Amino acid sequence: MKLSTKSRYGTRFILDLVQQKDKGAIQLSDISKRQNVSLKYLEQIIIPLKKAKYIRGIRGAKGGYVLVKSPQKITVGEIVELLEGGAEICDCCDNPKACSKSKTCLTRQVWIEAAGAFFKKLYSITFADLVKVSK
Amino acid sequence: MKVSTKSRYGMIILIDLARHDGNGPVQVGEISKRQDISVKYLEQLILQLKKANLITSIRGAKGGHVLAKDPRQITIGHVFKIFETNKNMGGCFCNQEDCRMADACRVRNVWQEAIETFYEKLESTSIADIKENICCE
Repeated sequence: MKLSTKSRYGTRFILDLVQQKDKGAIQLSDISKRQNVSLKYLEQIIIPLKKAKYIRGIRGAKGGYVLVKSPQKITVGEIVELLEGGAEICDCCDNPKACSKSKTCLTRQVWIEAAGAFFKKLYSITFADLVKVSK
Repeated sequence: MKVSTKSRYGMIILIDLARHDGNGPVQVGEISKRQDISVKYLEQLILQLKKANLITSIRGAKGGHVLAKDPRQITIGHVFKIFETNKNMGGCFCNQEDCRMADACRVRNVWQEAIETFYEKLESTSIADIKENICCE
């Protein structure tokens, strides 16, 4: 079981923006160099982040990306959930119809609880907290 | 992020055996029918569970498989660790040498903490707990 690179790199991307917050719009190529993630992949990762209005692009010579929300208001959990495409770790967890045994399945509940604990932890950490830790 | 079928089915096998604990060995064919999992796949998983000393096999006409331990002593976390190849869920904290970003990575601790909570939950639940969970009967 693995967290996708999407959610891990996406988290690093947001953290990078938070750390460079006072420098105006940040170019993707700078983040690509600092975070060692290809420009092409970053461009893919930011699409859902733009749609969900976490970041905003600014055009022009001094253009780039800026955060829309304040770092205190963005939790790691919401970024991971967004980029993972959900907070479930089994197909039947959120969709009981995915399996004919869902109703009586004794293991399904365990996965739901463990994933719940995992995401609860991530939801308790904001990007403002992360910056504090990293200083 | 998904739990592998191996972990899920591995747990189902152990729960099935726990439910029939005391009734003698259980054959793979019976588990296959009850749980709707192919015999071939079950055999692969049972091999791993045997290697981990959770299951003992008994030969002969009345042979089959039995739990090698008290179901109260088998935690879900243990089973999960047998089958999941990515025990740290892709967090890089375990192989710092393999990651060029390790020194600069600020989020490593976050993954570690979240994964620990995840495992705490799995370690606190045993096969016996689930077996006796009447609301799911």
